[in-house]
This record gives sequence, C-alpha cells and structure tokens, in this order.
Amino acid sequence: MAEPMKRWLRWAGMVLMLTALSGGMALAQSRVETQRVLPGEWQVEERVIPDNVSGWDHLWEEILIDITVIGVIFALVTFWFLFRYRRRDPDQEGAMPKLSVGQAVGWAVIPVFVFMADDFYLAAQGWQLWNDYRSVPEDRLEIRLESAMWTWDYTYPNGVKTFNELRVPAGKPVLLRMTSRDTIHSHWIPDYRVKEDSMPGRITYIWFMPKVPGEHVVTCAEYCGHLHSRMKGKLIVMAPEAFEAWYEAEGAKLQQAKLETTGGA
Amino acid sequence: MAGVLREWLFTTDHKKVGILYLIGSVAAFAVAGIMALLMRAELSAPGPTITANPSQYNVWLYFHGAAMILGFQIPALTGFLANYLVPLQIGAKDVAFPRLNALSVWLFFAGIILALLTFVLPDPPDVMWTGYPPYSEITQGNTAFYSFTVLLLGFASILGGVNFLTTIAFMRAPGMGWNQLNIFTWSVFAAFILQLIFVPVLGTAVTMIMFDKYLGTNFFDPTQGGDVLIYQNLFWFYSHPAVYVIFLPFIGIVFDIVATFARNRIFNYKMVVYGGIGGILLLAGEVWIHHLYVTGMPDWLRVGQMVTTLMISVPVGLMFIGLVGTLYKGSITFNTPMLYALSVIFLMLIGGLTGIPLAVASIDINLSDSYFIPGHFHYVMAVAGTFAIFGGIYYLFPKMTGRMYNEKLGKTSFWITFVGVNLVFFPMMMAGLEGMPRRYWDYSQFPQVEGLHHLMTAGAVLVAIGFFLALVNWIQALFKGQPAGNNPWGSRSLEWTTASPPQHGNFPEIPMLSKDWSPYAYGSSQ
Amino acid sequence: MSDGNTESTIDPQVVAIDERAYLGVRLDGHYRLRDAKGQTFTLDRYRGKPLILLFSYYTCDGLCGTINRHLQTLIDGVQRFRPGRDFRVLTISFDKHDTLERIAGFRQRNHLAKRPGWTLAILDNPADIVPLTSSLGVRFFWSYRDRVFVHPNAFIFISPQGRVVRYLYGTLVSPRDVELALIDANWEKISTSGKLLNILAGVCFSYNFKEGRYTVNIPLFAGLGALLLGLVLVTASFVVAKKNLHRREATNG
Repeated sequence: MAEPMKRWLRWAGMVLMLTALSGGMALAQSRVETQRVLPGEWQVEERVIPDNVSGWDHLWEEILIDITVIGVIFALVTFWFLFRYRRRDPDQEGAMPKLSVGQAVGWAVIPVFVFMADDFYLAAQGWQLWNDYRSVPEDRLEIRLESAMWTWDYTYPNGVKTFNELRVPAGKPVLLRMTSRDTIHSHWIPDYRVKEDSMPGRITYIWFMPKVPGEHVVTCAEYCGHLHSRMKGKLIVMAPEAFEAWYEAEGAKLQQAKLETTGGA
Repeated sequence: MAGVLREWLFTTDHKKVGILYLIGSVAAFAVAGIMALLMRAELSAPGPTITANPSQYNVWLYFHGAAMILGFQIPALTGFLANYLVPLQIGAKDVAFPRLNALSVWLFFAGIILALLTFVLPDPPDVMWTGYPPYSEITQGNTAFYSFTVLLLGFASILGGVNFLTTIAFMRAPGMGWNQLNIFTWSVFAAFILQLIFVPVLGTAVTMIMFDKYLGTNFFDPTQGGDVLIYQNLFWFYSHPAVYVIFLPFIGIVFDIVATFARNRIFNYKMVVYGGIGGILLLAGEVWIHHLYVTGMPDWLRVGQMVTTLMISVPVGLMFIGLVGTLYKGSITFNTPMLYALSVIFLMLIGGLTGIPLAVASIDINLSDSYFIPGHFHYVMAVAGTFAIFGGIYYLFPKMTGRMYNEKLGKTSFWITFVGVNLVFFPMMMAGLEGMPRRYWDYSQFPQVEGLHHLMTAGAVLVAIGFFLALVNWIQALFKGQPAGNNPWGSRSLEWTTASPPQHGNFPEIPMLSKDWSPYAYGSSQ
Repeated sequence: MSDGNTESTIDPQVVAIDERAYLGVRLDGHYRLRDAKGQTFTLDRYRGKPLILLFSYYTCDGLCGTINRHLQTLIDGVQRFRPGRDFRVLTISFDKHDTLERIAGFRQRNHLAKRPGWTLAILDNPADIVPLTSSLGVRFFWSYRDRVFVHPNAFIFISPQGRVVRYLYGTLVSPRDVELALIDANWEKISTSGKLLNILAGVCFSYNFKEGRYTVNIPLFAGLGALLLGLVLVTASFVVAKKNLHRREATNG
C-alpha cells in the first residue's frame, strides 16, 4: 500500500511542479507580448498599423494545420487499431496489457504536457493577434454607429448621417463606436475579419483598415428578430479624394439644411 | 390494457421511467428534426422558398434548438440512459428515491407538452434557445413558454440529479468500490454534479426574463439600471456546463460500447476518470466567457478564458486517448452500436478540433455567430451526442426488450445517416468561413454559399431517411425481433448478468463483488 | 432664495444631453485652454487619469456656483479616490466673454482655490467653444428674459483614454455615484488592478439611466444566490440521503 502510494505522490508532485513551471513560462511570455504592443485599446502610440486581415488569415492557417495534424494522427491510429485488432475468432477476447503505475502515469502526464504546450502556444499567438485587434492607430476616422431593428445608422464627425451604407476613405483606419437603440445586433464585416456586438446601454468599438477601394458586405451576426437576415449593409471603400469630395459635399448640404431650418424659425 | 396503462403511468421502476424518458425524448427529437427539415427546405435556395415570413422560420429554429437540447439530448442521456443503466451497472434494485424519479419524468413530459404548444399558440416564442434580452422581452412572441419549459425541465433535472448522485454514492452493490464503476456511471455522476450546481442559475435568469416581460420589472432593461450582458453571463454560466452535461454521458456510453465490442479493458481507467471526467468537472465552470468574446467584455477576461477554454482540450484529449487506447489489442466487431460509437470518435475529432480556433478570441472575433459555429457544435455535441444516444439505444435494445433488432437494417441506416450528417455540417462550417451569419432565413446577399446550401439540404434528406429507418427497425424488432438472450454482446458489465428484460428489482439476488471484479474484466480468466 | 431658481423656469429638457449618442465619444485632445494663472495647455494633458469635466460660466452666481460647490462636497465624500492623485477635475467656461479675472473671482466666491487637482479654465480660442461643447452633446443658450445662460448641469466623466464614460446630473448624485462613475471611467485599469473592493463595487452596481444614479445589479446577486443554491443542493443531497438510506437499511435489516 505504502510504496505505490509514495510513487504516486512523487509523480503528482512532479506534475504540479511542471505545470506551474510551464504555466509561469507561458504567462511570462505573454507579459512580454503585452508590454511590447500595449493592450490598452486607446493608447497613443505611433507604430506600424497592424494588418488584421492577413494576421487573422495567417493564424487561422496555422491553427488549421495544427488541428489537422492532431486529427489525422488520431484518425490513423484509430483506423489502424480497427483493422489490426478486428475479431478473428468469435471467442477471442481483448488482451489489453496491464499498465504499470509508471506507464499509467506517463500516459496521462505526457499527453497533458503535449496538449498544454500546444494550448499555450496557440493562446500566445491568439493573444498577440488580439492585441493587434485592440490597438487602434491614433490617426483614424471615428464614426458613430447606432444599430436598430433593422438598420445601421452611421454618424460622421461632421454630423453627416448615412443608413446601411458606410463610406470610408482607403488608406485610413476606421473606428466604429457602437451602440444600439433597441436590441442587440452585431456589426460584422467578413472581409475585414472583424465583428462586435452593439448593445443598448453599452458602448463597444471595432476598427479596421480599408486599403483599396471596393465594396464589402456588412451583415448582422446577432439574432435580432423578424428581419435579422435582411439586416445588411454595404461598406464602400472610396479613393481618398473621392471620399473627401463626398464628405465635404454632404457636410455642406447638412449645413445648408441647418441654416434653412434656423432661418425659417 | 387499462392495467398496463396504469402500470406505466404510476410506475416507480427506474427501467420503466427510463423508457418513458426514451419515448418522450425521441418524440421531441422527431418533431425538432422535422423543424430542421423545414429549415433546410427554406434554405434550399436563396430568398423566400417555403415561407415568406421570416418569423415562421425563427419559430422553427427556436423549437429545433430548444427541443433538441432541452427536450432530447439532456433527457435522453441523463433521463433515459442514466435511468435505465446506472442502477443496473451498480447492482442496485432501484434508484434511491423512486417516487421522485417518477415525478421527474412527468415534469419532463409537462415540459415537452409546453414546448409543443409552440405550434398551436397565436404568438409562439421566437427567442432562440438562448433567449437573449432585450429581444426576448420586446418580441411579440410569448417568451413565457420558453421560460416555463426551461423551468419545468430544469426542475425535472434537479430531481434526477439528487436521485442519481445519492444512488451512485450509497447504493452500489456490496464490494463495489469507486474504481470499479463503469465509465458511463462515472460520467452520469459528474454530469449531475454540474447539472445540480448550474441549473438554478439558468432558472433564475429565465425567470427574470419573464418578470421583465410580463410584470414590468427592469432586471435586464438597460435604460433602467439593468444590463443586457448579465443575462448572457448567467445563461452561459449554466449553458456551457450543460454542454458537458451532454458530453460526459455520451462519451461515457461510447466508452462502454467500445469496451464491450472490443472485449477489452478500458485503457488507463484512472486517467480517463480522474483526468478526463474530473478535469472537465473542474474546468466546466470557468470557460463560459468564450460565448461572449464579441460582446465587449474586458480584455483580461477574454484572454483569461481563452486560456481556460483551450485547456479543455487536455481532459478531452485524455478521454480520446483512453477511447482509442481501448481498441488496442482488442477483439473488435462492428455491430450497429459499435459503428455509432466509433463514428462518435470521428465526429468528435472534427467537432472538438474545430473548437480550438473558436477558443482563440482573436479568431472567434471573425467566426463568432457565423455558420461555422452551428457546424462546429453540431459535430461536437449535437450529432456526436445523437449518434451516441442511438448507439446506446441499439446497445440496450436487447436488454430492454429481450429481442434483437435487424443488424443489416441497422447498419444501412447508420451509413445513410453518417454520410448525411457530414454532408450537412461540413459545408456548414465552410459557409461560415465564407461570411454567412447563423440564424438567417435568407442568404441572398451571399451568392457564394448557394452551392453549399444545396449540399446541406441534400444531406438533411439523407439524415432524415437514416433516422427514419432506425425508428422502423426498432418498432419492427419490438414485435418481430428474434429473442436476444441475456447477454448477446458477451459483456462483463453487471447489467448483462441479469435477465433481458430485467425483472422488477433487477437482480434475482444482489450481486456480491470481489475486490478485483471489474465491469471490463476481459481477457482474464473469468 | 437661491438664484438657481430663476433658471428653473426654463424647462431643462431643452438642453438635455442625448447620452446614447455621446457616450463613448472621444474627447478631441487638441483644444488649447488657459488656466487662472494664464498658463496654456491642451486637453491632451488630461489623458492618463480619469477626469471629471464640467462646463460653467464664471459670472454665474446661480446654478454654476451651486454645482461646482456641490461637486466639492461630493468629492469630499468620495473615500476610495483622492482628487489629484487618482483623478482630476476640470471646469471649462463656455462664455466667450470670460477672462482670467473672472476665473479668479469665481474661484474666490466658490472656495475653489485650494482644491488639489481642480483646474478652472477658459478656452484659449473662443471659436473652439461650440465645437468642444457640441462634441460632447452639451448645448447652451443665453436667455434674454432671465439674463442667464441655460445649460445642462452635468458632470462628464472622461476615461484616462479620453472617452466619455458617464454623465451625472448635478444635484441628484451622491458621493457613491461619483465613486462608481470614477470606477467606470477607469475600469480597464481597475478590473486588472487586483483591488478587490473596487472591482466588486464596479461589478455590483450598474448605471440607471432613468434615475440618473447607480443602482444595485440585482440579476448578479440573484445568479450568485442560485449558484449557492446549487452547491447547497449537491451537499444536501449527499447529507440527507446518507441519513435516510441508513435509516431505511436499519429498518429493513
């Protein structure tokens, strides 16, 4: 009784130590990461604008390879066993060898470390990308978004409003400050790999970096009732000059309208 | 006839209660499955097809989700399988509190009936099985039916929990130690611990929804001090552990089936129980934030729970090793239950591994609430769970009825279903990567996914045919099946040592077990 | 009778702030201000710590004085945070005729001279007044009848990153509300600070837009209670069952 017990305890102690060690290392690693890129979303810091689209695609590919390898290994072993150990004689019984304590513990501990190493590796990668998603370039266009059933209402800094049509200049980061009038919606721009819920009573933010002029789909990802699936919008990335012209013209129109109403009153 | 009816209505026998659970949950499965077919028909082409009313679609979707999870999977696993198997596996005459057990099954039926009222009410609930406010509070639909269904089924589950924890803890046959339990019994034990701890939280959350909607309180009204996110936190605080309430018993029954048909010991039993089941028990309550990655939770919370969520892969991985390891040097046959159990390994591999990118917050920021999500969780929980349940039904069929199902038909139906589910759910994940959000009645703005949707609809038809054949098989075998004998599979587990079907009280005499008895004692000189 | 009453004859709703549209908006840091000593600085200087911002005009003897004085008593009642060390206060004038002398007078009248971390300022360029106030949703106008400015009596809580976090309205608030709004404003830091009491305070209360103050976050406590119930259920089922089953065995055997 006493001897295997002691051995177990020794093993358990080692497991705990190794866990603490690997956990600590992962934590230290991520600390370094955070200090480098600063987690706070609104830090004023000049740095290269992260490209989240290719960052996302890159991490996705990496994880896809990772999980495919794991999956294929498991599947191959399973198929091999199924083929190799199929029943050949109706009275045949399995012959699982009895594991020694060392083997049993080893079969638990080694996989735990393999899995954890993979987990921590992916977590660190994910964390880094997350920080990119969170560090907004200082020079940006801030647009207010109020969602409602079933529309996206955008307000530009100069007061211009658009509905279901987000026009932005190419080459300048765009930040949406979002809230909602009624229920929860989620502003998703699949082409820019970014979404976040907009909620009544709460404020959320997303940002993205439009690079080349073009049109992209904006769609609602949080169930919001009857016309959830028709809550779509358009993101129109314009050439900077074209955007400027549109922006000024709309701004002027707005001023004109304001003057007319106050003048008439 | 009346006598038989009375016997079933007032039964306190755990086996009859279990079969009642089976009937109720398979009925829920059938109706919810028809909803799935209707949805697939609607999505067979972009734009309105079989209904021009999106709310109609939303109601189908609501019912499909709520009924599959609350009315089929949880009751089939923790109601039917647990009730039927656990007392037999531990060598007990019945559960600890037979009358509570009977009450729980009738509460379950009340819940199912309440859920079915969806189809006769003028304003059926359309809040999805998640019931997020503010939508659930401002909708025209009668959210109350959702709340009451959850409360009734939750209460039934609590009664079950009290029953099974005590049964497993105190009513094991003389001589049966904790390390001699079937993996399935262990998994039921763990699942009910989770269920008991977390169900009250869900009950509270849906009750507050109801108060808000009908009694004018403002628990979740953001304009009056409420917070829309606190509900999501409470909901997932229960509902993520609920995934393990489903996962644990289904992987448990798969272990038992695999051990039986490989006639082999469980590979590294203690690793599976303490590392696998125990690990999940420990981590289950610390990962719910991954459902809220895109709701503006504080960064430290998202990153912290990204790590805990990824850590779930450790206990699950251990269970996988145990499961695949059990095949090692086995003597494997491929009967229908074994096919279902083995397919669970395959489905869990796809479903579990696709969960890894979703655990990474920065990947989820794009994939969250896309079609990738239903693809993933159908693989890992819905289909894997359903296949495990079907495997369990086939496995226990000779025990429950004393008759054998038709093996050929069983295998045919299995392969049709298996091809079908992969046709449905693999393209579903791909549609998510293409940018299609979930819960869409119309996908005309995503022309690139139309082909995928055709595949999905075709797959759904196959799935329906496959499941229908299984039903036909059971009903036919119930009346015309060959006598199966007490132990057709040659299992060493206690439930197969008694008659098929077992008499009231289960065993002619309570089994006395020696110290080195094991339910998986294959290959030894028995 | 306070002069403030003369202002109350005008419906304050006309200058009410549409919070939904302005919460979370970022304060533009480039505005140049001038304090009582004549030194100039930009709003950027206020990044890094939470800021309580209020708009007044310095010839005002009524409401402005009242709310500036009220904020003093509120701050005195705040236990967790010290002005200057943990947060700062900035009063900005929206009257383009205000001068440094007027600041001095206002400071004198309202005993603001010795307040740590409290600055009274005017905008260096009067043309900046309307862009700044309107960027925060603050509107004001001169009432010829009453010869006063009509303006909202709001304390605006700004996060260390310069974002509008909360509007609290003049006389309704208590020191606790100010404390909670400061926690809100600095939540990113506080939530990771490990200062449990501050974190708890931030989590246990939520802002009630209708009542204009913080109220207890009931669902959180209901949820915690339910969790507790669950844990009790698990323990109780073991304890009670053990007793019952033993008794049953005893009677059977």
